[in-house]
Amino acid sequence: MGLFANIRAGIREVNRRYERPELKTTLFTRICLVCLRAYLLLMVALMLFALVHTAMSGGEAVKQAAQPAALPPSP
Amino acid sequence: MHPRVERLPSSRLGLPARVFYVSRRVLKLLKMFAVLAGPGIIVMVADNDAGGITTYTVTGAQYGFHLLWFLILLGPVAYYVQEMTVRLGAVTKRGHAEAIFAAFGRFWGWFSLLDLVLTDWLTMITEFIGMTAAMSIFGIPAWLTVLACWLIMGAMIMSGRYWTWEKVTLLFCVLNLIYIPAAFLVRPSPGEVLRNSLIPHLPPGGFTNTLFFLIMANIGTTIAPWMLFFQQSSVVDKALKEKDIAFGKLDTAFGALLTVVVAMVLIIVCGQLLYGQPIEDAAMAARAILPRSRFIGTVMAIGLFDAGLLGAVCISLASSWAFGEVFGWAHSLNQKVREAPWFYAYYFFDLLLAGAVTLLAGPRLLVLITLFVQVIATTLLPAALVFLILLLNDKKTMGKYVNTPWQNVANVSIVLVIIVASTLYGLSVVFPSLFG
Repeated sequence: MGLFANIRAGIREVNRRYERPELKTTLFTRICLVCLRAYLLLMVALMLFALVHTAMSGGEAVKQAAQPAALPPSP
Repeated sequence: MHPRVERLPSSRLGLPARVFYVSRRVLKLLKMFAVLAGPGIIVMVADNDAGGITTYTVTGAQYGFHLLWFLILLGPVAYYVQEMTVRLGAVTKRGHAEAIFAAFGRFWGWFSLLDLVLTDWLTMITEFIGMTAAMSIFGIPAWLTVLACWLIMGAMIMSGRYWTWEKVTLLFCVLNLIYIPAAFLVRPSPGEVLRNSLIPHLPPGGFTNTLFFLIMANIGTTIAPWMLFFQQSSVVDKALKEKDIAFGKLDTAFGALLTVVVAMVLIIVCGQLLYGQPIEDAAMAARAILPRSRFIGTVMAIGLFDAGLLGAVCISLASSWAFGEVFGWAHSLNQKVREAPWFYAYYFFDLLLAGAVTLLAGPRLLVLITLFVQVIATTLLPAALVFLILLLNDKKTMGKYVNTPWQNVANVSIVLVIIVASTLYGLSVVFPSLFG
């Protein structure tokens, strides 16, 4: 419990320390960050979809990839 | 300098004296470079990790020498991205994780940190997979390889001096060059190598899905998110100053050259010996080569082990430094274990967990990890690159080391290409049928 309490305290301290961004947010910076958020939301959603899809399909793609490939015959 | 000589203008010095003083100056610069070099060479050579070696061997086996020109193009790309971290680290004296937290706030800071930690840990597992596969060629069981790796990687950082760790790691980097003699032994046609290196062209068969995947894989392996965090933190831990930035850039450029050379060598070796064969990873390539040339096959296996080891050390340190920077722990390799307990604890925890998963997980889980780590990395790389460029354009912080307009043009172009390529690659791994 002591360890988790320390971790929680550390996280709160980090959040407090970095509460206000130091970088001056110009219009260009704000546009970049908004585009980045949209991009990342899309990527994370796709990854979750792919994970669920892989799990529901029984991991067929994984099964195939896990089969050891035959080595080429020796010359 | 001799007082009498000192009074003479240089134009009046005799040729031998001029040669002497020029060579002394060059020697002095080389000594300075030897002292200051390290982060750039290490990060670039470690970039040729187990995953990278696999990518290059598959590229050579699939397309022969036809993609050599593409590898040469990636060298400057890697340099332009990594040299930004040198400037940022030397000027701000902050690691990349801390810089993101400070500049962009909590949300982006936590996103970057947690994504880095997850990507790094999964990549570490792939490094251990590569190392165990390499050593299995010599009949060494996986558990022994993992145990030896833990001991080696642990010993590497226990000196309590960044300098010692750096020099030991540079030795392992030199070992990574073990592939180079193999490129000469396979006796490739020099004309063919030159032609394929200098003339951009599509390989026979044109632009196929397989070519697309390999190009994306090569891009993805050349610029990895952990590299940005590692090099910047390493620059800070090495205490490079602003006046050292020029040497830091040279260090990075030299490292980029080495990484391209090793990549090309691997493509040449595999292109010459394994062209057209269904090679899926570097260990398989080494096994396939062994019957034909015991020396080259052994070199391939040792090189793969070394690549995995270097990658694992650097990736684990990248995460440890990032955590230490953000949480305010002592986080320097110049501190002993009792002075920076959490820094070392995280490093060892990372290693032990990755090694344990490699030993205990079944092949399906390991394949899933190998597939998805590439996808997860695509979420971090664009963000890390965008942050890097925004930070390098902050004139208030960077002063005279702020990005010039031409640097912005080059870096933004690179970032846009990487974002598109990384996204397409991530999508192609997750949805293979999307691209036919």
